Amino acid sequence: MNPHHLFAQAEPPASPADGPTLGRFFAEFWPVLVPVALGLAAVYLLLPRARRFPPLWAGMLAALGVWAVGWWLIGFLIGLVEAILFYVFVCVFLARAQHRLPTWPIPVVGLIVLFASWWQTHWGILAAEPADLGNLLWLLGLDIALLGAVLFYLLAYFMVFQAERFPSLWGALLAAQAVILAGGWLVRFEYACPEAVLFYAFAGLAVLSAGLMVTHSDPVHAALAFAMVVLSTCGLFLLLGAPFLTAATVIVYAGAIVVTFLFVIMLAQQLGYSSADQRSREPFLASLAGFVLLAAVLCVLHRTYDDQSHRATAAQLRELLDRTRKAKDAKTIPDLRAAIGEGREFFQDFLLLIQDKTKMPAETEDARAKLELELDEAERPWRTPDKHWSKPQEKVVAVTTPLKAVYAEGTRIYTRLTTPGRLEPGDKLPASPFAVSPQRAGKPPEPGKLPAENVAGLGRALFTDYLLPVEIAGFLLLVATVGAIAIAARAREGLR
Amino acid sequence: MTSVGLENYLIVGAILFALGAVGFLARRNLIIMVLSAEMMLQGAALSFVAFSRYHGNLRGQVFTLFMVAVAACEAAVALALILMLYRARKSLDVSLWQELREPDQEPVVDEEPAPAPPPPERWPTLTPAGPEPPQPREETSHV
Repeated sequence: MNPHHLFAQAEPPASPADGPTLGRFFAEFWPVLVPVALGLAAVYLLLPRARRFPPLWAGMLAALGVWAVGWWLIGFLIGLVEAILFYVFVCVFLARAQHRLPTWPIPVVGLIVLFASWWQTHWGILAAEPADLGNLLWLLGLDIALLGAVLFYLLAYFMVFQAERFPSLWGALLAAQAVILAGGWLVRFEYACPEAVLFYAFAGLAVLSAGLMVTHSDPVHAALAFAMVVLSTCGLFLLLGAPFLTAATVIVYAGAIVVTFLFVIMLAQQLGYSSADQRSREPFLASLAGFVLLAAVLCVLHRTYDDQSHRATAAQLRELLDRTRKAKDAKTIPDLRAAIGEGREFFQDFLLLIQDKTKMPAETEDARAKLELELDEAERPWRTPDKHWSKPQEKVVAVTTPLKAVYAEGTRIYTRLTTPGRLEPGDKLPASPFAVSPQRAGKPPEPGKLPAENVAGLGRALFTDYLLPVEIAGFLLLVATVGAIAIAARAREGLR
Repeated sequence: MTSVGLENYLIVGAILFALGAVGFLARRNLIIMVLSAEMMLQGAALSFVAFSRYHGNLRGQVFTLFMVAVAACEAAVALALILMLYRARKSLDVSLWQELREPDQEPVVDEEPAPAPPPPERWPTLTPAGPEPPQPREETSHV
């Protein structure tokens, strides 16, 4: 038995379409394959070479990839997110291009994106949701945002891109302002929790800087972009409740390693130009290898987290929970009977489902044990014939009281089942106050737990469980110091 | 409400790892190759910390701490090696070291032509100092 459902072998979902294997593979994994292919094609076009491709094409590919991700991932937020991302793309990416570009694709692509998002929000996913007031306001705000984006495109088309040079700093500033405004707006109107906004900001910055580092032909800029990658990753570490690691990584990477790299670059390339930076080794094969690697990893993640095999279990549990909810609110014995039936079938079904370890997430073991106890508590008075009770009301109370606990625990298991990979802060590991999930959002943060306890726990772990590895790491540092001196020293050349 | 789960962090880690791999394979500059390897380490570290949070214990964070230490060692040794290689060839181009290949392998020949060197930079020139050279005076009318 696998200890963890995350690594359990997922049952291949039964596909109704009996097509060729490649077709079924693509039908399952297109949300992964398309953005990855587009993104790495963009990297391929941007890699340095003697005759460069215009960066506009790469920008188009990257924007299309982002759009595909948005469509698949974010669903109803798609309109705003696409507008913002395209805005960022236009601001930063084209502002960097210093030679004259054909400008007609910009409004064309912009209008296509806008039309797609408008269609999506009016007749797509969002339109299917019940139209309450918040939804209407959301639609209104979205229309205003889209209108603003249209105006921006027209402005950009008529004014900015005719200019010879447009400092990319201004583009970057505008884009950052757009992202910050959008993030604040999303949080203010509770479309996203702060953790999600910060996560997407840091993750986007990390990925963008990583692409810049790989494709920039100037090694100094590449090193600075790497520093940006490290800093964004440190932001993600903070969101994950690892403040000590954040500090250590900033000091060691951004403070020491990047500076040393910059030092060596300036020492070795005083001319500032080398033909090694203007050409790539086998850019197509390298991009292909990257595509295969990334697509393989992301396909596995997709199959794990978009797992169909858990859905049947979740539906079964949902049905049982609905009956439990009706039963726990019941006031009379006929009500109870209507909810959970005459005999023991309800309890038996529930127990069978709960005790099936292949279907339940392993980490819900405590909740399941508690649920079994409460089920037993509820079943015993339910089995007792009515005439043994002095008043029927007593029986109802005796059954519904444990059923309330059953409902609470069952709901917890259901949430766990439908959202695998959920980063709910554990009791043992305090998380950062930014990492509050929507379920915990109303509750006050636990005071005094961060950062003291986290760092203290890390120190305790290092000096108890991992004392030998710490010593080995120290020894490794010593060996590396000696080795670096031995390699870099000019042996037997005398003083110069 | 959108919330962030384990898989989001794993996706970012995988992207950093793959981009680092592309950079390591495609770039020629030795320093950028080492930087790409460091970026692959960053992607792995992000996945470790996310799993640490997911399981609610500190093992992943401890592992990442060791990764930082090893990355520092790696950077020191790699920079020493790069300096040595640079002294031998006066260039950071990794394809100048093709004789390190296996004996039965053919050398890689660049299909792409070498890029043209950049035009020499033109600095602004100051007007030369000294007395003004004699210039032929033109007749001007003072009507």
